Amino acid sequence: MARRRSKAIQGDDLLREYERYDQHVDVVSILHWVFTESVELPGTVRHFERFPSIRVDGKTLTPDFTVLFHDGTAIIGEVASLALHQNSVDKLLSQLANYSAITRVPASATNNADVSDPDVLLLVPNSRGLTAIRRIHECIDDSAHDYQPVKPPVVAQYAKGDSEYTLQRLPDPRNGILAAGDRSQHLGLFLDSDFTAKAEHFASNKVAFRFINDSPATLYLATHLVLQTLPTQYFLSGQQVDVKPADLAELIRSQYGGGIRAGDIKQALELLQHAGYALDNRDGTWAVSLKPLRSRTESDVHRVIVEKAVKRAKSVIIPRERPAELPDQGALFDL
Amino acid sequence: MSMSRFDEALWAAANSGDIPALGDLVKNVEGKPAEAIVVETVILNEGSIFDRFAGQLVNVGPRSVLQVFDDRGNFTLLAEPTTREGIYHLIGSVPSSDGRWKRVERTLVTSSPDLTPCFLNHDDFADLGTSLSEFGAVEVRAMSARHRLHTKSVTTTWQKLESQLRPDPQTAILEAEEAETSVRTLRLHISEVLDVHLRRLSGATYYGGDFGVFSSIILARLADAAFRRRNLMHGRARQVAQPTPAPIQITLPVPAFKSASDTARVIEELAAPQRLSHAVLHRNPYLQVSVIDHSDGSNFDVLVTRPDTIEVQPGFRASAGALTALVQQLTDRFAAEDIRERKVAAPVSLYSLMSG
Repeated sequence: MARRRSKAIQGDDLLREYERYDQHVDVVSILHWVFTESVELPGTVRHFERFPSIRVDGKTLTPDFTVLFHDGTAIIGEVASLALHQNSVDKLLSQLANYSAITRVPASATNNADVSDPDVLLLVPNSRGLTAIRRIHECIDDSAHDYQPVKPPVVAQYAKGDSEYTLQRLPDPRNGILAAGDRSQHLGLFLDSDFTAKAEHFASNKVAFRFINDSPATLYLATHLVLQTLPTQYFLSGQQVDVKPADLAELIRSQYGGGIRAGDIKQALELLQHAGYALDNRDGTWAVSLKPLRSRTESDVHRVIVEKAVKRAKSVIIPRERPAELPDQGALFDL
Repeated sequence: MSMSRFDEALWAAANSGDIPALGDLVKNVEGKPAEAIVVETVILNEGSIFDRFAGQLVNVGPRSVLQVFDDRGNFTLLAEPTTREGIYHLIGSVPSSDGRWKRVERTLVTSSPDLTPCFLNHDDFADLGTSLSEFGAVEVRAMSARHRLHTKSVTTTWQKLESQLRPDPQTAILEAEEAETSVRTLRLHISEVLDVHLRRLSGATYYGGDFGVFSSIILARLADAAFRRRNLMHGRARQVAQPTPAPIQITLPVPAFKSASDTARVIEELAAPQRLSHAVLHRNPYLQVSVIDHSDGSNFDVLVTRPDTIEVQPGFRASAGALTALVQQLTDRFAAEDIRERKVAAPVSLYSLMSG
C-alpha cells in the first residue's frame, strides 16, 4: 500500500522529546511520592490526582496533577519546558489562567470537592527558571495581556542530577508563595530549600504510573507499545496483529491510571509505520508487527525506531489481501 | 566410546521400566575407574523437562531418562523429581568439563524460560559447605572465583599437607572476598566421607564417598534453595487495579554503579542475549531500562537507583521463568550476593532531603 506523503522525521527532535517527557514523568513522580509516601505530607493530603480532568466553563482542563488538602486548599500543578518564543509563553499562560479559575478538584477517583483560591505551581527545568519568572511577570505587568491572575503562580525549577533531582522555588520577590493553609507541614517549606529527591525514593512510583497527564512523547509511547503493551496483550497472536488505537489507549489507562488518549496511540503508530513496523489499514485499525525490532548498528529499541523511521525502513507488515472479486456470472434473465 | 557404567545401568533400568532409587543406582555401579555423578538442579516452569533436548526418551513414573546421541559417545540423563514441586535434579555421569556436558548446559540455556537453573544466593552456597561439617573436617581442595567488577576468573588450589588441614569453606570464601572476588565453585573433601564439587550455578558433582550424605545434605539443600527461588519468582506479574508487587532486588557486595559508564555495563548485559530487547528510559547513572523477553513476551523494568543494587520490576506480562532467567543473568554477571523481594521501606522524612 502506498504511504501518504508526510514531512521528514526529525530523529533528534524525537529523542529530545523522549528525554524531556521522561524527565517530566520523573518530576510528577517526585511530587506524587512526596505527597503520598513521605513522612510529613501524606497526613495533610485528602487526595492526590495524577491524571486530573476538570471541567471549567465548558473546557476540560488537564493539569499535570492536583493536590486537595484536608484544610480545603489545593495545588494545581504543571510541569513545562518553556520555549523562548512568545507563542510558547502565551500558550503556557493561557493554561495557567485556566487553572486559576478552577474551583473544584478531584477528591477521589470519582468525586470532586470545592476549593477556593488554589495555588498554581509551575515546575520548569533550571535552564528556564529565571526566564520563566521574567516572562511571566512581564506579561502580568502588561495590563493589556490576557494573563492577570488574582495571585501569581508559584514557579519552581528542577535540576536533574546524577541519581536525583533538586527542586527549588525561585526566590524572586515577584514569585508566588504556596499557601500553608492550616498545615504545619507543607510543600513550601521544602521548596524554599534545596530539596533533593533521590531516584531510589520515587522510582517505584514512576514505574507504577509510567505516564503523566500531558500527551506523551510519541517515541516514548511507541517504545512502550513495542516493549510492553503489545507483547502483554498479543504475544500469542502470531507475527502481527490488528489493533484499534482507542482499545490500546483504554488498556493503557486501565493499567497505569490515565494520561493516554486514542490520538496519542495513533501518533505512535504513525511513527512505527514510518519505521516499517505498523500499517494503517484505513478502516480504523492498524496492523502492527510483533517481531523483535532490531538493527545492525543499534540495540536500544527506541533508537532503532528512530533509525528506521528516519530511513523510512521497508515495512515488515504483510498487507491484508483484497478479497477476490466474484466472477461475472451474467444476469439470470437475459432481456 | 561406550557409555559409562552409570549410564548403561540407568538406560537398562529405564527400558526395564524399573529404575532403582538414585543411591542404589550409584552403589550398583561402583568400581574402577571411579565415575563422577554430575547434578544440575533446575526449576521447571512450563512443559516437560526434556522438551528442548534431542534424544530417545523413556518415562518411568515421574522420572524421565533420555539417551543423547553424540559423536563423542552417547550418554544418558536422568530427570529426578525432588520432594519440592517444580524442582528437578538433572543427573548424568559425563564430567562437567566434558564437551558433552557443555552441550547439556547449552540446551539448558535455550530451554529458558521454561526450564531455568538456580543461581544460589551467597549464603545458600556458603551453607552447603558448612552443612557438611557435622560429618568431619571439611577441607577446600580448590576454589574458583570471579572478580566483582569485571569478568576475570581466579582458580586457587590447596595441596594436601600431612601436618595441616586445608582451609574450611568459610575461610576460603572469606579469603576470596577479601580479594574482591566472588566464589563460583568449591571442591570439598571430607576424609573418608565425601569428595564433592559445588557450583553456585546450582549444581554439584559427586566424586566419591557416602552418596547418602551427598543426597541428604547437598541435593536436598539445592532443591530447597531452588524451591525458594521458584516461589519468589511466581505470580509477580502486575495485575490491573492491584497494587504493584514489590520488585526483585539484586544486591551487590560493593557499590559498582557510581557513574553512567558503570550502569552502561547493565545495558550491555541486557543487549547480549538474542531473547531480550531493551530501551533505556533514563541513565545518569540512575538507570531505568524497559526490557522484553521474546521467548514469551514477558516484560520488565530494570532499575539502578543505588550503586549496590539492581531492581527488576515485572510488567503486566511476566512469567516466573523469564523473571528468573533475567534476574539470575544479572546476578551472575555482577557477582551479586543475593536475590530477594525488596522490603517495604520506611517512609522518608523530607527534612532529610533538604540541604538548606
